[in-house]
Amino acid sequence: MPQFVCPGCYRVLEFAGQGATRCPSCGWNGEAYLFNPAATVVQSAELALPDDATCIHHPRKKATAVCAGTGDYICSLCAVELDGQTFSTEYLNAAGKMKAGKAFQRELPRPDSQITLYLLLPFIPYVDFVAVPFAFLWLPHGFFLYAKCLRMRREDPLFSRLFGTGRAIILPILLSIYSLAWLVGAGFGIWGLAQYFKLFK
Amino acid sequence: MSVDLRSNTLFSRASLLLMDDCLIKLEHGRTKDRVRRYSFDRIESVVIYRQIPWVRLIICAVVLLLPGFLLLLAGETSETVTGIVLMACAVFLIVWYLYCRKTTIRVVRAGQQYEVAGIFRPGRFRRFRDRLIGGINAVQLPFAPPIPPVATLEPPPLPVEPPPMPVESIANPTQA
Repeated sequence: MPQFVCPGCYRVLEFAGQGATRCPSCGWNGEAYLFNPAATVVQSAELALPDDATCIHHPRKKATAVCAGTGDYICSLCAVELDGQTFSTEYLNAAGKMKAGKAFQRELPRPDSQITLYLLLPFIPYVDFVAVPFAFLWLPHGFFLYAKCLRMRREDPLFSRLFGTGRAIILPILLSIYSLAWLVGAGFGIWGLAQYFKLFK
Repeated sequence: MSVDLRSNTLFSRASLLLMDDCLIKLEHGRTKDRVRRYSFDRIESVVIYRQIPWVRLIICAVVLLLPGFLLLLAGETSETVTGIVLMACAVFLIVWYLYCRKTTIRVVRAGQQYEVAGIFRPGRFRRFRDRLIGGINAVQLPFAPPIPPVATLEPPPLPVEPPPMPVESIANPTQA
């Protein structure tokens, strides 16, 4: 009988099915869905017979694959599958570190969040005193980040779900409006300064 | 297509995305997100329960409802209007929180327990739950058949007995 732990009293409950359920001891109400997960299959590496190819890292083990990074024979202990290719753990620890890091990616850069932050800075009190005069620095960076977003959207399916069409349209429009407003403001400022100096000449 | 569920709390923001073979939890940061993937093949159970979000309700009452009520007592027109607006906001938020309630999704995968809690719209959450359960069942189907829902947990039907044959005709077919 499948089991799960009651979130209310931490008792192990037996529940044959899926859907609404109730804990008989604490009265907890909720839904439980129990599944049949795949059992973990642990295969020990076979010992090599005299005619067998052997693993480069374990000379007594039979080779079962070829490392896509180094081309060496490797046993099942050393083989790691990444994106449909087999690599040896030694390779992934050394030259293939970047490849392993990319495959087991734990962090997703969000240039779109950074653009949003840039666009919010001029509206935050006190921060705007710094953000507005230095917009000539962060606005081009904002456009650069937008280009990065578009590239990531093409390459990464996860990012493409986060960076939808709406954002892809709105962000450059807002950046352009802000750039235009800043240019007009800067133009007026320069013109005003010129008038001021002309007046006192 | 955007994220499937968003969970916003005071200290963290997270999003849940359902892919074909895994559930992805994104913990949002300022410039990058922490990605946690829970592949469907090793998920043992999903437990979902809903609670009343007492903390949010109390914060709503203290920050909006109470000042609104005190402003109502002041008697001036502008303060009365402000008080009514504050109280209306508080009542709307409290009703919304009571309607949605705090939903906790607990996923047990390979003996490890992972939790996501948030206030989700019921319809959106129902769609998410159905897709999640369907996705896990679809991935685990090749390993083992899914456990049937409660409604179909019935004893198998008894074999239907054939109607009794006319004994006379079998005993002596020539008589017919």
